[in-house]
Amino acid sequence: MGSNLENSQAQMRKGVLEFCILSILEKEEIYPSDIIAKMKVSKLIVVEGTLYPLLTRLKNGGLLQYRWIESKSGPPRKYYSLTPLGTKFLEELRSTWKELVEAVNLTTQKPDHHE
Amino acid sequence: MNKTVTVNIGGIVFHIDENAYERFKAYLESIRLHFTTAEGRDEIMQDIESRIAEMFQEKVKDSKQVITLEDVEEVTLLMGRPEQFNDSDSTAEEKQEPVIEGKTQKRLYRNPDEKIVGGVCSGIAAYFDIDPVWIRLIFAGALVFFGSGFLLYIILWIIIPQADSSVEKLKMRGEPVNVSSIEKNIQEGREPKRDNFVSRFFDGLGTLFKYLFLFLGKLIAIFFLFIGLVIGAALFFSILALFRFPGTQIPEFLRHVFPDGFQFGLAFICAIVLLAIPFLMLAYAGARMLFNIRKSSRVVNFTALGIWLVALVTCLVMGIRVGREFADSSSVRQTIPVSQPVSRTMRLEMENKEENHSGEKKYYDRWGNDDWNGEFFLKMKDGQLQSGDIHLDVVKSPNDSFQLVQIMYAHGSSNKEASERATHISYSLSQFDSVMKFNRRFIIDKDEKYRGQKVQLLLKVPVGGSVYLDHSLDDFIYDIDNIQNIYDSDMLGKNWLMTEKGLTCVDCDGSEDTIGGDNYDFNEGDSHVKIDQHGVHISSGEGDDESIIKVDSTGVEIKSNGKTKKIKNEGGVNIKIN
Repeated sequence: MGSNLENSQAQMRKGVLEFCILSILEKEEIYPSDIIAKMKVSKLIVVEGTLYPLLTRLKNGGLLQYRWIESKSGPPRKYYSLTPLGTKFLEELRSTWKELVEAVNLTTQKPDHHE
Repeated sequence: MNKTVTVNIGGIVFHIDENAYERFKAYLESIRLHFTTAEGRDEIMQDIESRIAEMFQEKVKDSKQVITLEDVEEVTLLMGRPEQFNDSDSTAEEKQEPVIEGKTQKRLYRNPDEKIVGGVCSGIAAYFDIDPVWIRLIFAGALVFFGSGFLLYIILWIIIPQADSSVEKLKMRGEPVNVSSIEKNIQEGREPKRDNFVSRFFDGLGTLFKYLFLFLGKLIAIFFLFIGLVIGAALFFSILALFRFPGTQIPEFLRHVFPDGFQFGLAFICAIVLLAIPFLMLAYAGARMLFNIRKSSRVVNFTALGIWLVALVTCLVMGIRVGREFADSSSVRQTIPVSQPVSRTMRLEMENKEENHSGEKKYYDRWGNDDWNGEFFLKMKDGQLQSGDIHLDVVKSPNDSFQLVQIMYAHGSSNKEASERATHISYSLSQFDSVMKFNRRFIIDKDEKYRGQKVQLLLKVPVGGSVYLDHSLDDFIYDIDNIQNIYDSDMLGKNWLMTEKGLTCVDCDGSEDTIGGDNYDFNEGDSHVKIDQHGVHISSGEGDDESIIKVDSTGVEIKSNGKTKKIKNEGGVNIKIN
């Protein structure tokens, strides 16, 4: 049961991961490890390694763009931001998310909590 | 104390402990393998490396300049193991354990981790999944009993590659090659190797031999390169001879074999190319060996092969065309009038002998070249093609007079053509009473090509007549039969009388070389074999013990133990035994 639970949790996290990353990127142009810092709080991402393949995939999908910025401590950094397509994509996700939350709330409400 | 390794991560140089480096390398390799199928792997790897570089950069301070194992472990924890990545690539789930090599294939490698000499035995043992001890015992046994174990071991050592990387080590053991097995293998590999004195000694020996072989290889390469270039260049340089470039020569007769200068030139160049290309390819192979270029250029190979084949075909076609002209042969006999000398003695000598006289030395070589300048027996002189392929023989005349016959030979595509060509040959000699002066060359013809023309002169001397062979006839007379069986060169400067039995020397002193083939005289201890014009005489033993076999024209005689038996040869097949 333990591994089943873990698996389900992982699946759930995975589904909303993209949505969260795009949301963070909507607000500002940001560096991957800053994304990590924000997301670790929410336990959506456990290890940094998860982020890089994801960002690359979104970028290759035309949702993200990046530019190089010099760094004082290390190699130049990639700062990511949303493309117009990415913004549109995020809007779609957002509305879907809202519907989903409502649907989930409806179906998972405990009977005694009924108004 | 720890040895450090310098690495470049994301463009920044780090000093990293050796053990930490091993761990880090394994980690990066496991990530790389994880992304084999993912698109943009290189970019992801780059991003991850850059981030790790940044993390390392934070670890390094003035007081701590080296990345340690702890640092690596910490960073690995932050970045996460590949299986923790949970990347939502649609394929990632099925490919949780991507097998890198479609099938797990067992391969024979030398095992560097468990070696005593070269790791051959432990490699074989790993292949058959048995204890290396057994294989070692077999080799040791072969060493003791046949001595062949040593040679076999050396050969295997050379031809079996060593399992260096983790993937190779896994293949050596026939384990599946995937991310987790590689990591496991790398962790195991960090255990200290079996490193004893013996294996270190053989390691050193192996390295020594390796460099020795490399050195020898380079020497051979230089040799190939040198030989190939020198001979190839020399051959190509000889093409210049076509244009009569100073200091170059080609066999002159070849020029007169081909119908025209163009065909000759073409055939000559093709022949040179045919010979030179293998040498140039040898030089190319040498150069490749010398500069460690493994792959040979297809362009070079196919070009060389193409040119070579074209040259071969051209040579064959032209060779066959010329060869056809030699297909048939014919000869023409001509009697040259001779005025009978009063003294019944004829002095034979060469025309222009004074001109070429230089002490006792020979006047002409075998082919009648009076001035050796690279020309063969064929020569263009006064616009005529001349040949020195002419010889004189002296034989018995059937009647009472001196006669001279000239036989002219030639080749042609047909018998008719050959005999017609033979008649085109012209030869001249002069006679002043008893002195006959020969010309060393005959004239083929102005517009004629060389088709194997040659001339044989037969001087027929009547019984009782004699000839004097002058020294200037050296190499002009050829295989003149005489009773004394004296060689041609010793027949010169002497008088020869024709008898019923043949030519005999009048003024020989016995110092002349004779042809041994006609007389045979052999002694070994008491045994004696003698073969001469009288017959065969074989004897062995002495006194009463002597045994003799005599074979002659009268019959066969056998003498043994003092008694004699004779088989007489009377009237053909009738044999009478006494």
